[in-house]
Amino acid sequence: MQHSDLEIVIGLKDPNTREQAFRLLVGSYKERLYWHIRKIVMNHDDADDILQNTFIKIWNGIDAFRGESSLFTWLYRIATNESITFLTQKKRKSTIGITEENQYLMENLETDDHFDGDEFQMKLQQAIAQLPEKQRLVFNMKYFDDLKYQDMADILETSVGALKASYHHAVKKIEDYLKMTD
Amino acid sequence: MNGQNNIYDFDGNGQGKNPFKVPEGYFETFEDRLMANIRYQKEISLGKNPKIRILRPIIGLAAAFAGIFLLVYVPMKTFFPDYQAKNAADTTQTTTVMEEYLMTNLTCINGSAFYSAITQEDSNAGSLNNNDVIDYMASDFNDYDIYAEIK
Repeated sequence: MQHSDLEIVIGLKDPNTREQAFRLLVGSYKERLYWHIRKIVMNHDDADDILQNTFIKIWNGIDAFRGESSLFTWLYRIATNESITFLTQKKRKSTIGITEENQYLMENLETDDHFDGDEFQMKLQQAIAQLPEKQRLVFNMKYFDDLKYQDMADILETSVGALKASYHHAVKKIEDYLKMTD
Repeated sequence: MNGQNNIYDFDGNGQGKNPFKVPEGYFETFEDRLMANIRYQKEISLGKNPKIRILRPIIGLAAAFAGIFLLVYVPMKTFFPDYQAKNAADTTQTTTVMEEYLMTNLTCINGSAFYSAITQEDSNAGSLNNNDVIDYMASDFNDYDIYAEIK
C-alpha cells in the first residue's frame, strides 16, 4: 500500500505513531535518496554511509520539519547536504584541492565493484566527475532524475535561472570531454 | 570507443540510464540496519547525558562495594556458617558475664550508699579528718591492724 506524504507527515508529528510513520518514510524514499546520493559520491559504500546518516538526521530532526516545504524537498535537501559535507570532509582530511576532489570521484568510480554501465556510460561518469560541484549536482538531478527546475531550486535553495545556466554549462563541458576522449 | 558522444541518445524515457547497481538484497535489509543504527546512536547519546556522567563514578563505587560484599559475605555465609554463629555466641557470652558481675556487686550495696557514691563530689575528698579515717578503719579492720597502721 502506497502512503501519501501527508499521511507520513501526520504520523511523524504524533509521538505514538512516529516510529511507524518513519518506517513508512524510509520504505518510500530509501531508493530515490540512495540513487541521488550515489550519483553524487559515485561509490556504493560511501552512498550507504551517507544514506544512513541522512535518515538518522531526519529521525532526529522530525520536530524541526515545519511543513513549509514538501517532504520530498526536505528529504532531498538533507541528502544533498550530507553528500556535500561528506565530500568536503574527505577533501579536508586529505588536504586535496578541487581538482583532487574530482580525482577522488574518478578513483571511486574506477574501483567501484557495483558499476554496471558500458564504456560510454563510464566515459559519461568520468566527464561528470570533472565538473564543479554545483554543475555536477544540477546535471545529475536533471539528466538522470528528470527533476523539474522548480523542485531543484527548492532543494538547492537557488533560482531557476541559475540552475538553467549551470545545466547548460555542464552539458557543454561534458560534450567537449566526450569529443576530446573519443 | 564506438564514436557515441551524444548524451541525449536515450532509450526513450527521457532520462539518462543509471549505470550503477547495488549489492544483492541491499534495499531489503537497509531498514533493519538503519533502525539498529538509530538505537545504537540513542544509547550513545544517553551515555553522554551530563547527569548520568556525573552519577557514573558514584554508581560505579556503589556497584563495586556491592560486588565486594557479595564476593566476601555470600561465600563466607555459604562455606563457613559456624564462624559467624561462634562470633555471635562470644558476644552474647561476654555480655552475660558483665551483667552478672554488675548485678552481684550492686546487690551488696544498699540503695542510699549507691546513690551517695555516684553523687559524691570530688571536692569532699580533701575534707577527711583523722577521726574519719579511724572510724573507717574501725569498721573494716581488727584492733591489731589498726595498731599496725597508726604505729
